[in-house]
Amino acid sequence: MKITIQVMVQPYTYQDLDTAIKIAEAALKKGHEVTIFLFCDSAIAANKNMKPVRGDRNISQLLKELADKGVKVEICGICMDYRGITTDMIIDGSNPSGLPELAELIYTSDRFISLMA
Amino acid sequence: MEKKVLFVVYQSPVGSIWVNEGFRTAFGMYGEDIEPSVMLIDAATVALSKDTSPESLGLLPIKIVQRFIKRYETPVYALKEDIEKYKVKNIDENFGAQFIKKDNLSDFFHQFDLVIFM
Amino acid sequence: MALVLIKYGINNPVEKLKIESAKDNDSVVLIQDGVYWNLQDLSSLTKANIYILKEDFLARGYKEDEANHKLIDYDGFIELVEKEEKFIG
Repeated sequence: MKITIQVMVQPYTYQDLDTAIKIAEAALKKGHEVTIFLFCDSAIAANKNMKPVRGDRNISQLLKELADKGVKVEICGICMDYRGITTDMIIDGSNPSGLPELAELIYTSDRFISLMA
Repeated sequence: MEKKVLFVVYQSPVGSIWVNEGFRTAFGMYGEDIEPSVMLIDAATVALSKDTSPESLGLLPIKIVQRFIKRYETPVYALKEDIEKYKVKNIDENFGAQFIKKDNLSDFFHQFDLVIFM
Repeated sequence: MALVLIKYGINNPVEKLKIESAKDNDSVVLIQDGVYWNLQDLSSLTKANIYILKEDFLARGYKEDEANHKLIDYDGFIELVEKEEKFIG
């Protein structure tokens, strides 16, 4: 199945990115095709320059590891612009995207999971 | 096959971006075979008042969505009980909002393939 | 029919509305702070099947025997995603 997971709120302040990553891992393990779409403040989760304190998880690194395993990470481009995130700042394997791509994901995905704001 | 998607916004139209984002996302769906609708519940129903003006605080206005609602004929819904709860007066007809009663919400939600709360 | 995802706690009016809107054959999944709905009598709000994400429940200090609904792991969550064609959340 093609499964898309949409996140809307920021990493670290809330648990949504952690939830999305775990859902993606479980779906991937079962052979599903997975996309994570980062919308609004969740766009900052793709910033590879984040430096959490020792002992805490590095969310952008976890996203990169998922991307390395084949998960597509799409980021709302206008949401990036609003937050000063440029393409050179985002993790390898992620892509600036937009509403046309979100519409395509919603249309073509067998399942769409959204974590509400 | 067409997909029916409902974007439900519940946060206040002044002080949060979600009413704008709900509409912006809905309008972005028209490139695919998707029928988007927007529903305002809880504090988001305040968006329907002619007197609501985030722009008076320097925030992004909401009324800019109205010409796209008209252009795309996007269905807009609001929860009747919440209109009353928030005493929303002077409702702007340019939103073309239809009112849904709480008792009918379960059947209403189940008409859609996806109900995305924002 | 629908997967209904609940992630905010018991004082969130929107989550209550979502739970009340769930139909008999829907699957309501309590995740994150949504697990606190386990403290409420949900049978008065819905007849849907209710599941609790075990990891989120245990992380908030509750024990398995305190769960009033079926505990599932992420694999179980994906099984529900596969089963339910519609989504409300």
